[in-house]
Amino acid sequence: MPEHKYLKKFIEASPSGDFANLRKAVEYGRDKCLNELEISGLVGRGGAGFSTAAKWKFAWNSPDVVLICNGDEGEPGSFKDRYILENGAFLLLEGLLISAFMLNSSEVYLYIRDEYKDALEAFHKCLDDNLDLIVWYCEQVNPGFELKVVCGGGAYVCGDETSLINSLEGKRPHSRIKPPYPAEKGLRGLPTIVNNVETLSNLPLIIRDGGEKFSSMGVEGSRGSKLICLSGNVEKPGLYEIEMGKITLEEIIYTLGGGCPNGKLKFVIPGGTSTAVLAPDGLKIAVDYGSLRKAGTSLGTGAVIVADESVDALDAACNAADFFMSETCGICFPCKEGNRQIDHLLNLIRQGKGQESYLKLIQDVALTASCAARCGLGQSCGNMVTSLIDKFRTDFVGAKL
Amino acid sequence: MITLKINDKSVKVTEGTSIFEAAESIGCKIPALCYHRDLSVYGGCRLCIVEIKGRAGFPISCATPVEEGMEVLTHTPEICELRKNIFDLIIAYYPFECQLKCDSCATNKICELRQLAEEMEINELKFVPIARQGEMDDSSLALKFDSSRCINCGRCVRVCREVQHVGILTPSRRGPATQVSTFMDKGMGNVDCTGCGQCLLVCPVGAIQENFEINQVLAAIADPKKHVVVQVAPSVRFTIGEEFGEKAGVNLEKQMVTALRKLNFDQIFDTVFSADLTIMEESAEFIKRFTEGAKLPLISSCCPGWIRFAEDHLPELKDNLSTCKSPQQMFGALLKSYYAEKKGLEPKDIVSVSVMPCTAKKAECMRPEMIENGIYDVDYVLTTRELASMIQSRGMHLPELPEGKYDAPFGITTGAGLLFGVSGGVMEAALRTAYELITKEELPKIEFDDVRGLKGIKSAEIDIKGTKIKVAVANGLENSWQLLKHADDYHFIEIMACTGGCIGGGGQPISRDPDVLQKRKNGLYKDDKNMKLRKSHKNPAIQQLYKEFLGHPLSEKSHHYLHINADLQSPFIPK
Amino acid sequence: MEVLLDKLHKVQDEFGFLPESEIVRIANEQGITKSELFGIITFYSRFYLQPVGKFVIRICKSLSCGINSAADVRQKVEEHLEIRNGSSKDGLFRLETVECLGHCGEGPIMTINDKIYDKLNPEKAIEIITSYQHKGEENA
Repeated sequence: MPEHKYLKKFIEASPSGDFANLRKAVEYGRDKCLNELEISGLVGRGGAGFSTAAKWKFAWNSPDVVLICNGDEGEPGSFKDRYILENGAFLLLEGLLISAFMLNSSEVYLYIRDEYKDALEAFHKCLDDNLDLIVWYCEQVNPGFELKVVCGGGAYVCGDETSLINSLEGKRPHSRIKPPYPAEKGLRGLPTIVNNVETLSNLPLIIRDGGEKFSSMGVEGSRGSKLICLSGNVEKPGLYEIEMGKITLEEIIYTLGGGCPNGKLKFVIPGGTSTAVLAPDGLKIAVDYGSLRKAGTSLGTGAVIVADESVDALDAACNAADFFMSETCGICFPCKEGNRQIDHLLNLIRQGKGQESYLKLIQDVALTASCAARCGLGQSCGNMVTSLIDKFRTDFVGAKL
Repeated sequence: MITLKINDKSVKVTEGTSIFEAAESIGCKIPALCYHRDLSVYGGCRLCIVEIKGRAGFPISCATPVEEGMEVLTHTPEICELRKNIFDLIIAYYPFECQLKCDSCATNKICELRQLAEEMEINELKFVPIARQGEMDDSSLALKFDSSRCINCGRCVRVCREVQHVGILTPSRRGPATQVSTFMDKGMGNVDCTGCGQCLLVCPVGAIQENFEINQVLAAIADPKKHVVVQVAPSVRFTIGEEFGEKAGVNLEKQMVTALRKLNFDQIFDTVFSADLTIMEESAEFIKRFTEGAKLPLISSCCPGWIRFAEDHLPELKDNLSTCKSPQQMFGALLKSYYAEKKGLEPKDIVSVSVMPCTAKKAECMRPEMIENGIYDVDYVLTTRELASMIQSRGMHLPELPEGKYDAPFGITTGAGLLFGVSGGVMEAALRTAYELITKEELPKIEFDDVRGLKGIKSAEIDIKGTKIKVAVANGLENSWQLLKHADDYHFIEIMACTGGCIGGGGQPISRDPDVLQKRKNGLYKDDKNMKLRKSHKNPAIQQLYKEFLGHPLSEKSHHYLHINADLQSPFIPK
Repeated sequence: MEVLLDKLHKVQDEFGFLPESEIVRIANEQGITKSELFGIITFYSRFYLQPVGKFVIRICKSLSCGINSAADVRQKVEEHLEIRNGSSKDGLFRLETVECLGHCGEGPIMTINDKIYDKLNPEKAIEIITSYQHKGEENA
């Protein structure tokens, strides 16, 4: 099965363009555009998978909507947004301009993580290259339009939309208490739409091809294509595009990725370290939001990390625990203390000072955080660790306990 | 009004009330550690989670407003289990000596972790304790901060920012390293901390405490060469009983004097006396400024937290501040001069101790202008809580002690001086005297009701035989900040750093409960009313002091001992 | 539309870290207390309050790189520079192990002053760092 190229095709074929899709959007008018977006069935590509049109509708009739494009990609295993920024900045720019036009938004931010220097440069170059078009846009389409590119400061939690808003406001970037949701009350109290880089990059294509065409790809609840970041113990790691629901995880790993080069596959993380792992017997599963949810995990950002039998499940769990512990914002107790406890228990086990009862404690902590934590980071921090314990208990109890 | 059901019980509350408050109003207490009624919602501890019918997940009740027809469950087995887990996680990363071994803990009386453990019936801890290293910030002369006890609930940060407009505390770093810090980790003593201690009053775990000076005082008492004198601030007598289970506002002055005697202090004096003296000087200063057309408003200077705040945040008001020292410092200056002379003692052999409702006073006495030739006017300051603990550690139960009497020559006091303990009191006391000194007539009504009460900002226009004097009073530094934006509208302003004035001081029994403050205030006003003398200038002992020693208010001697003559901006000189 | 992060980056680009006097200035500009700004700055990993080494080496420790033996690279680099997290004695290098750098398909990854070096093994990493050492010595 060859790779399904949709976004990638556009990127590879036209690194620059004439804003044809933007012009078409303007011709359509914002309501028809929204209609197309709704028909397309596009859902957010940042991890939560929420309907883009539904989100936009909350703010549709408000003046002074702020649009923020979230390029603070920090989920371990994810590099799709970097790929778009570095290779398809034009696509993102056009998507941003269309979205800002649709949302009547003149205040637009692109928040890029500070580590992505090449991506930043590529996007700035794209802005320079298309200055005439942008001037036209500012004069004719969206008077008062201002696009501000902001570099993060190095904090994973800024990938959470309310944390990102706090960061832009010059506050400590921890999450906000929801409700109110940003679409209602976001940056400086204004209705604010936050969307991922990949999400907004789909806008030009939805306008170009129409919502129908877009929704003909994929399956119910997961329309269109999805960028997959393949990494770990795999022959051909890299960025792939798939049609959602039409390819299994196994096919992604073996057909696209060439399988594990040095041994048998042990487990796969389907959507970054916030998602539960799948064992080899669980890989014949269609890759779309619904199917993976049904399997107790999530498509997340589309970061597929493959681990072969050389990888110790306990080591992987420790790695994830350490990550979440150091990246929690520190405001909410179940997440801050919970991750500290998980990290501590796993390290005790690794040092041979553990007890089997610790595994139950870890599960209790994870459950507590998933129910009581303040934001997505805390609610999902235990997914990978607990699934590793479930599926590879011997790696935890075996020699170590 | 909104009607909802909490645990099947119908509740009616005003719109905008949180579920937490609605539950509280029917006596259903939801556990919480970061919530505080006087502060903004933080949403950190997550202990106050509830279930709402028809809504997914577990929203936090402190941040969720009530809605019509809402059905809330606050204590389902699932919620209780989650709460217990969260609580256990906190204790797992708490100093090893804790682990709920409360009997041996010095802060167990005030510790909300202990209270919660009882409420939630936690007697077994399930998670594995994690070693924790913390640092003690003892850079401040007023307060110390033990970061190993801090749970990062953010209350101190919020009270410092929101109620006090000081904002020296901040959460810093992130993840496991998150902690409460000062700017560049300099420590509270090296930033613009006013020492007011409101952070201490809201801390649920006693991580912030006053800089204890009990041991130094005990050592001085034990030293036969030292003559140890103690003065007690007006408000302490109305609050110290709370540490012994008494109701707020009960005056235990006489029992307290007995206790101090049993603690072997050589002489026991009442700061109310020097409050009267302050009024003599300050009202003279006001009359002088007013009649000579000098700089107004005159702003009171007896609150050291306020003085620190003014220096850091409002330097432009420097010349508006009264030059009067605070009553504590006036007393100290008299003890090491007039009193020493009278008693034939060397000032260096006198140890001057004060008992204050205040933590900032611990620093005030180490200001250079309060020290002459290496002699500190006040050597040690104890808080109300410290005195209570000294009394307790001698096995005394304060309310049951026999009555005692303050010593001469400072033994006569007035209701006016007593009023220093509450917001508006200094103003009222000053007006009582200023009115009569200006008009040479008796005040028709002695109470100035407009400046009474716990409101943050109060103002009044006083008619002194045709001359209108505009006065204002603020308590709490944010309120003061707001009031002082309009300082020029007034002739005379009283500022107290703490909520309610000294009755809500950082050295008082731990409480910011408005009911408690109300009771403390009422007790104070009731006693003023019962005093024989209620005007400072009618105090015969004060008159005697002027005759024997000072001459008259604002005399050269007064200036030397009772006023601040130097620029205020100078570092502290710790002992 | 200059946001706080822009100001912080600008100062750090100029000085290599955020000097105290600049933090005070920015806090005043932002209308927040200096302690609040200190709290904000220290939340982020990429701002420094003290001068750091001339070459900042960041080695990714996240899962994808971890699976591809990033720990071996890190250990060798630590041994070579004789530092763990921190700056070398000569002030030339600062070594940090960091979370995902977004090049998970090409791990193990390290960056030196944000220049990406991918598909590392211990030997290759040492070779690259040695070339920086020479660069540093030449400039000194």
